[in-house]
Amino acid sequence: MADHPDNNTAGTASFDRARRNVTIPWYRELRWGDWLLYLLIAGLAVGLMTGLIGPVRQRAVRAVLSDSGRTIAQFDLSAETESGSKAIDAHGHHYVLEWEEGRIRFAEADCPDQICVRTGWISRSGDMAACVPGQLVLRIEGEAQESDDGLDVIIR
Amino acid sequence: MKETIKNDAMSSRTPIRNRQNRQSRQALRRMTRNAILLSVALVLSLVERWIPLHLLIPVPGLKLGLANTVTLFALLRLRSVDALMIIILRSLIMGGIMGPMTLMLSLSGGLLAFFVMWPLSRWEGRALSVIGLSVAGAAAHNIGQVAMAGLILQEPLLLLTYLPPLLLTSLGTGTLTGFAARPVINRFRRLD
Repeated sequence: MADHPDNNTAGTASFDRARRNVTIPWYRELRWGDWLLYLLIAGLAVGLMTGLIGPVRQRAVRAVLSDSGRTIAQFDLSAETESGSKAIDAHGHHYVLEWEEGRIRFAEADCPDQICVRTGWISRSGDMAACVPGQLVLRIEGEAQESDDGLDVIIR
Repeated sequence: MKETIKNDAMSSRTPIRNRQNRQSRQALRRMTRNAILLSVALVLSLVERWIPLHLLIPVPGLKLGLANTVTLFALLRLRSVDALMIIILRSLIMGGIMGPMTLMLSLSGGLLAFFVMWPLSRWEGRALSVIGLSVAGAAAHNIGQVAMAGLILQEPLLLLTYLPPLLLTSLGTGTLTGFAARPVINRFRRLD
């Protein structure tokens, strides 16, 4: 892969200043492109967040645990649920799930990054806790998805 | 530095054998430099795992991204191929230590960060500063990683739940690593 010819000029301004022993405060080094990047990234984050908040987030009815897209367990989280915990093995890692009425979490995991544990309790429909090493996703489902009891009419 | 200048001045008069010597010396110097930078990047990515940043800011998956300082240095002061090789080898070695899933995540994040920072590095000093470059790299790294996680777990909605807080914190971590890289980069001229 060849370098872009213009790339040779990258960073020369800062080195020139260093050589001439000119120090300028960091905020004067910021250019318009920096502010544009800050705005773009913050905008993307806010955009994705509104995409998340968009659908009405109901209280948890159940949690679905899936292993790379395949459902392997379901947990009832509705009002009459007793709290409990369950050990799960997946892809050579051990996990302990813990649930109460309306919420669930990865209580323990022996995976290196601990992202699933640090996600903490999840309690609203659409909330997720994921673990890449064990290929597990714990997803909360709310009332709207509960269509198999035949009592409610769902209008789309 | 002084030696290089002397060699350059003499090169027109010296025999071809010496010129070849100079070329192989430069190749050796470049390889040694890249090896040192690779080990610095590895140490930084291992050390930053000890920093309990998640106690301060409870965002799952958050890390400082200190190894990005090495990428920034290589991109701005060495050849971009060097930066790319350091990223790939760092991911491979970290993957060997931590496991294949870490390899996939590290590689996807690192490569996306590189391919975002590489074109942007042309404008460093004109339209951008090291800090902006670092922030762009940090955000791209997070996007690449969460996208790869979504792909592995077959759950594209991960992009909605895990990415926004990571993107917001990448503004802070990117600025911090940019600060860390800035004084080092400013002390060097282009080495290659």
